[in-house]
Amino acid sequence: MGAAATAPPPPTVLSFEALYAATADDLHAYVASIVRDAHLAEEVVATAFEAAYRRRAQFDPARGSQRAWLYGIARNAALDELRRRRRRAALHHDPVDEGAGSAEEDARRVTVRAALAALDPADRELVALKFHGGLSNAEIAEVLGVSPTAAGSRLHRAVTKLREACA
Amino acid sequence: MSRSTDDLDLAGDPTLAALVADVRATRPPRDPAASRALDARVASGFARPSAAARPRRRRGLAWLAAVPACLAVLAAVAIVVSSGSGGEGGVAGSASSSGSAAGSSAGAVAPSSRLVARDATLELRTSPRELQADADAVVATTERAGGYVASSRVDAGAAGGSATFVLQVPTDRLARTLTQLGRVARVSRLDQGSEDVTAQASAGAARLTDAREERDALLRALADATDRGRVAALRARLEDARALVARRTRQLGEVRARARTARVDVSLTAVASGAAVAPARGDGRLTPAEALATAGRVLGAAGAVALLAALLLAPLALVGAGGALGLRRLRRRAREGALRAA
Repeated sequence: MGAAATAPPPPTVLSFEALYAATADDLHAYVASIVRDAHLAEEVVATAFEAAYRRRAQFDPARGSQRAWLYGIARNAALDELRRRRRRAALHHDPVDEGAGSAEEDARRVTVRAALAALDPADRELVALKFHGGLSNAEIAEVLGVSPTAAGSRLHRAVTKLREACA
Repeated sequence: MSRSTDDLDLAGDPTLAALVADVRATRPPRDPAASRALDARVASGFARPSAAARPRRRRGLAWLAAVPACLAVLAAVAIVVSSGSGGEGGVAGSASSSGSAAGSSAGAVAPSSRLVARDATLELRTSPRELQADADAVVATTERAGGYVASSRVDAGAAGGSATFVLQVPTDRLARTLTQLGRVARVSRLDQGSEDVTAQASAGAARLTDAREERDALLRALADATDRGRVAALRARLEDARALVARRTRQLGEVRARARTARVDVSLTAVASGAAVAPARGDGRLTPAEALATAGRVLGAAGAVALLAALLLAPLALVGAGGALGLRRLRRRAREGALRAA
């Protein structure tokens, strides 16, 4: 029963191009949920990827996952942008074609969109990290600078609020 | 990249699974043009002309960080130099200067137009067995320097003894001579003094000129005198004038000689106790004990420098770290505030 048999596999470190390809869309969705402006989210995502590219040598796999590192950079960039603009940006992205699904699906998504908009920003961020970014609780904890337990609790509360708002 | 929903049971909760799907479906579409532009920037490695500004700014910060290090190095050099130069004129570090104003000014370089009289008192210690040889070495060293022994006295005995010398050495060789005398035996004390005699020499020269002019005037008057009584009177005055010229010439010569040659009083004391006296160091090399003492002084100076640097830098580092931590917290708080306000 050596330690090697129970040790977790080393985290896979993607090349920057692979990381970009795997996360760009999700990261955009996450940033858009923070800044609530799809076009501004494009700028923030570009800024975040450039910052990550220039700091890529500083990434330490022992300290966390690559996704969490990238989302942390994007989060800071998004919040800094919000601070600079000092405004509550409305969501300006093109309306999603609600007619793509059934009438029931369309109605449900309108409800979900409204429920998301009504969420507390911190809860909305948690939902975005989880459902858009697909981050684990440990990765969310890393991005937010809290413990994994706290991240799990907060996420559970946020999802509960969302479910209640959509009910 | 796999999506994690760790503690969310999507399979066992169809409602939650549908909610997740709906949330994902609400994501805003990306702008194709912006997406393509970012693709291209990633492919090119974010090449941009303004990138050169960042390293320059960092170099500036690195330069600022180097300032305390430079100050520490300068302090180290100053301390080591001040602690290492225990003697004047290259005499061994065991020599002590009197520390008086005269002593401190002795090493000053006088302008070539000024006349400076210098003197020194050197006390040496040796063993009774080597007293005579060391006394001979003092004389030989003086003669090699172009000086002479004005007076000397040697009292040698089995239990001890002493020797005293009054040396006259060329002033411009004083420092080198003191260094060489310091190698004859162990230096227990060294005092040096100096006196600017330029004004004395100038005044003496002026007085001599006056005396000569008076003498010359008397000579001319004597040549013109025909009256016997006046001739006798002029000759008497002329004799006094000549004496005055001679006296003032001698005085001026003495002043100039004081500047030309330096007086060195050397005392050589033989001490019976071997423990109290280090062996004579005719070859100028350090004894093991002296080397150990020197190493101790160097280590002490280095420790003092390190302590000084730590005392200077530690508060700065603490303030800097505290400031950085505070800024980080402020920035984080501001970001969270921005999120709450979003």
